[in-house]
Amino acid sequence: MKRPNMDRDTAEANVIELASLARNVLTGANDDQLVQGERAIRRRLSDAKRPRTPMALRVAAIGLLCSTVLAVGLYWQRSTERSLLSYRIENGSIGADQTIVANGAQSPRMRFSDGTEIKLQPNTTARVRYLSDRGAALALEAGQLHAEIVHSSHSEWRFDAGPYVIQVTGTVFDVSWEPDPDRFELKLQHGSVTVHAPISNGPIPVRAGQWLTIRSRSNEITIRDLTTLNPSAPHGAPVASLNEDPDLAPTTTAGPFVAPTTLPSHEPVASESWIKALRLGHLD
Amino acid sequence: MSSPQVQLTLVSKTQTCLPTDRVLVDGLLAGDADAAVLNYRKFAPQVFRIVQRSMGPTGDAEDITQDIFCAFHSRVRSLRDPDALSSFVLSVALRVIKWQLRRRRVRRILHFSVDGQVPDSWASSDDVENRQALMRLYHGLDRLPANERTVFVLKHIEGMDLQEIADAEGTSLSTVKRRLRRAHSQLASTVGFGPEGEHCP
Repeated sequence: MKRPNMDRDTAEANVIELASLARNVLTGANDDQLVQGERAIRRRLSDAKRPRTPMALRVAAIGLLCSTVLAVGLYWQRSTERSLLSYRIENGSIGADQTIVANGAQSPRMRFSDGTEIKLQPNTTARVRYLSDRGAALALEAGQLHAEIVHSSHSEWRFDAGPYVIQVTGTVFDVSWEPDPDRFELKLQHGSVTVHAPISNGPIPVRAGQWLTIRSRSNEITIRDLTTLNPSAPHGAPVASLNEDPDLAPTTTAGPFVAPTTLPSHEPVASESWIKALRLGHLD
Repeated sequence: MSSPQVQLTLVSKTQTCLPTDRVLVDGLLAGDADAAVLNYRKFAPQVFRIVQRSMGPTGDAEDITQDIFCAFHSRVRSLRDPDALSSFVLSVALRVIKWQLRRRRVRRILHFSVDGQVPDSWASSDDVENRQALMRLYHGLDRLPANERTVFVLKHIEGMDLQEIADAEGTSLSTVKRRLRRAHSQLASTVGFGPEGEHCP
């Protein structure tokens, strides 16, 4: 609150007057304060002159610490980073078009650095599409192969057989693919895989002991029990031509059964009477 | 280039004949402990007074003065012109004072404030009016930034001329004038209208 009868010049003059008062009152240190200050300065300066750890030693210690931190960091980085899988081929070699070529009549065998083994049957054409730190992708262009995939928590293997894709984490299976007459077969000994097929809207799960046969041209997806393996008649079995019927979930029954798949919308859809007949087992 | 070795002899205060700045600087650069003490004797009264007048009632002038001389000794090797020793001491003092003022401002903002009371040693107990006037002045100075505050104190309380202040502050004369103008204006508003103002205790 300003006094009404006081202008700004007066206020500034008052400030100067207060400053003069401060100058008169605050006259500095007395003798005792100066003597005590002198003692304190002596003590502080002598403390500062105490021998300290030599600079070179301190630098060396800091360098050692930094080196240790760096070494631990590098070790940690290397221990966490995974290198790409590698492989070698027995009884075979890599051809000009990157396909695996058999040496003579023997079957080529691929041994990967994670322990996985893949054996190609005679007259099989396959190639490694890519390698990763978790697995590899192989393309089976025609023929048959036997795979023993070593399972680990992070393994990712993929097999492309024509239009079919098998995704694997760890398992043992045989797969064959013949472009003509378009026959895909998967016999799964251990583990589980999923197969992506062009005639299926979703992945087809296959469990251990199952035998999957797919014929895209005739919209056939068949899963059988391996114990009923009959090489002469796997493909005359009932045809899976279903349209999203949850009751037809995969089961491992003896004999042929239908896989849980649906046809794409542009494919011919089976009639309900056919599905009913299938449930009752009246098909031959 | 090594500094010439100078032997300084410390004598009792009554017989003190303080050496010139050039001799002191030579001794300080040579690491002579007596030179440090003589340097303190020569400049401590002025430095203490400036600290006392700058920090106000709550300032711990003795400790801050010691800090200033310790800081001075750690930087004395950067002194190029021995004849500028006095300015160098003053510039170190102002740097430490401003740092203390800013620290105190932060503490006040964070409510670690000192109480702002004038100690008894500042004014005799029967001079109540002067005591209250000083409290009012430093209450206003507490509201100024450190740069404005030190310029005002050096000019109007310490009695230095503007060019000396500019040299000590390491700024231009016009900057000093501008800071002084701002300090005047703000102090006139806060404490110039007397003890009935709302800012006055």
